[in-house]
Amino acid sequence: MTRKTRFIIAAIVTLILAVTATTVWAGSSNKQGSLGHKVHHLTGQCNGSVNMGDATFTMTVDEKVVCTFDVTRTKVPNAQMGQPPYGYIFRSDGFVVSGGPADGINGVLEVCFAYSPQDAEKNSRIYMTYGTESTLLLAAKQGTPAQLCAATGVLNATFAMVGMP
Amino acid sequence: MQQKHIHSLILTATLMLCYAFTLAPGLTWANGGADGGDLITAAATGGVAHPSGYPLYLLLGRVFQLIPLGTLAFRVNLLSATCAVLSGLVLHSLLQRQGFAPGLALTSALAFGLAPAIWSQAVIAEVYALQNLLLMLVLWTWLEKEIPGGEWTRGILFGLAVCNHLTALLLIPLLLLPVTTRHADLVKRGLGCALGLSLYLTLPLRAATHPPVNWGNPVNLDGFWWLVSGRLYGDYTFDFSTVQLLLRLWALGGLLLEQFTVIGVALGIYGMFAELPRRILLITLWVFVTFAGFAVIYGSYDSQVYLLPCYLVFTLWVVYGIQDILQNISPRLGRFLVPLIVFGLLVRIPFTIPIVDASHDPRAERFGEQFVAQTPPHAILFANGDEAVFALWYFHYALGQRPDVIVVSEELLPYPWYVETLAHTYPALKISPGDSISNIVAKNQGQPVCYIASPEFFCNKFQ
Repeated sequence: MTRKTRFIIAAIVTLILAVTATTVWAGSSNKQGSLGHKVHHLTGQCNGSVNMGDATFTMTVDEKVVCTFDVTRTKVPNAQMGQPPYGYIFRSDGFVVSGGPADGINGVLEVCFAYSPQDAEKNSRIYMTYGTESTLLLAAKQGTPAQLCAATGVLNATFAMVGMP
Repeated sequence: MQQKHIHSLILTATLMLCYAFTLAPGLTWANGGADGGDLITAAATGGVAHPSGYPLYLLLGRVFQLIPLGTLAFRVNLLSATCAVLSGLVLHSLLQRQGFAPGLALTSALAFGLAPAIWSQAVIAEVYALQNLLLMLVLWTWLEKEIPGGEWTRGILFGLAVCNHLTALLLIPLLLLPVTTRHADLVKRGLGCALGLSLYLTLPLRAATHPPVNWGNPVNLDGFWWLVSGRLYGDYTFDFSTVQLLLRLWALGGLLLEQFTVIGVALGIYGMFAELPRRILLITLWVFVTFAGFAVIYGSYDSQVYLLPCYLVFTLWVVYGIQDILQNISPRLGRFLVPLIVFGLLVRIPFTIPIVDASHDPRAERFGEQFVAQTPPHAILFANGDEAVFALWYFHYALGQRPDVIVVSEELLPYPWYVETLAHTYPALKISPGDSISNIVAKNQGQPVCYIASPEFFCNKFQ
């Protein structure tokens, strides 16, 4: 490459940059610092809790039963749960609860979502999909800071909080 | 005194003066320095910092913390300034050994040390000034054929660079680059690399003492790998839209202009196409493309800091550009061009200071004062966000302020290792793995609870 060509390339590129370039470094949609963002997957003991940060899952089975259960976050709940009930939208990520005790062993799974005043205003509810069945659970506000909690006998299902748009 | 020594003294004095004038006197959030609280506290308490653990930085940070000067944070800020000055000196030495004119070598090293991005990291407690120094040394070992310690030095420096920041892994192809083709040399290089990397083994030893900052509790293989692999941030890559990706590529040009000005960028682009030795062209191009690529695709809001090695190699291109003009176009131009650049650099300093100055940012220290004054006795503090959590760790764990309170990071509560660390640090705290904030509040009734939701300290009392 001749010096003249180099000069022309350098001049043109610099001119374009000087006229149009920005120094604003585009951030991601969520500020992502060193503390990390929402946890993706955790395993907990049956007769114990798993805290995913914005949702908590507490399983209670016969205390003689030794097992673990998994909770996996899904950022697109529709993939597992289909469309939310008519008139609602998803107001949280989806959480797939799997593992747990062997078939035939009963237990209770308490599901709690962090519940802000905005969630309350939007009449938020807890939605569960089990196999091909989906249902809104009977939920109540409890604790400080507030959580929206519901209990179910289904130990393997997908859960999300839904609310009005 | 030889001219090169006088130039080294001028370089050192200028950089030290500029950095000292803008150095943060205590903990700071300026220049993206929120992680400082975590790093300083982990160094002071024998702890383990956020992934990938930063074992080299923690060791050096602890050494600087022993200097009886200013606050604990100031001493670690001093480590960054020292590394940045040394980076300038290594670049100066490298340019002289490559045969550049002394005046040009001095000017270029000054331009690099006073570039806003480099300067901004020299005045806060962060790992990037040290990383810049290590990458500079790694490049120096690859651009020079004869170096003290030979292949051992090449390997050790690469291993130490990876110990300080995982982005150094982008230089792995350089590790395989032949300087000589002897098999024994490659073995020495590999062993040297393993020796440098062995510093990671200090992390389990630190964790075994149950420090209050103990990321991943790396006493077993699972915890160790979670920590050193940076798995926590694994999904940050490509975590944004195509439009943002294009905006970042565009911003890359703007940031180069910010560091080098219009003249510098033109000289750098010209220099890149100048007749660089093939080895230097390949190495510098590799560094520029891989680090720029990583900075662009990495989803953290401050990933432009990974561009620092790009600025280093761009400085080399600028130098080659200037030399090409002086040698082949107009040798007489040198009489004017170099003094003109020095003049430009000096004039630019007052304009750069407001961008990089960390000496007048009181936010983090004020947050600490509010923490001490406003937290109710024996309260449990739930905090979120890097700024708030790491600052609380610094004032509470490293400086030992308000030992009566309990500090809990909301983001880390899901992790069993963190619950274990809390239980060990605060034996009176009733907490189990999987507990939500509500559970912890319910289990510890009778204790005041504060929720710190923003960097501005405000104790939201729930009871």
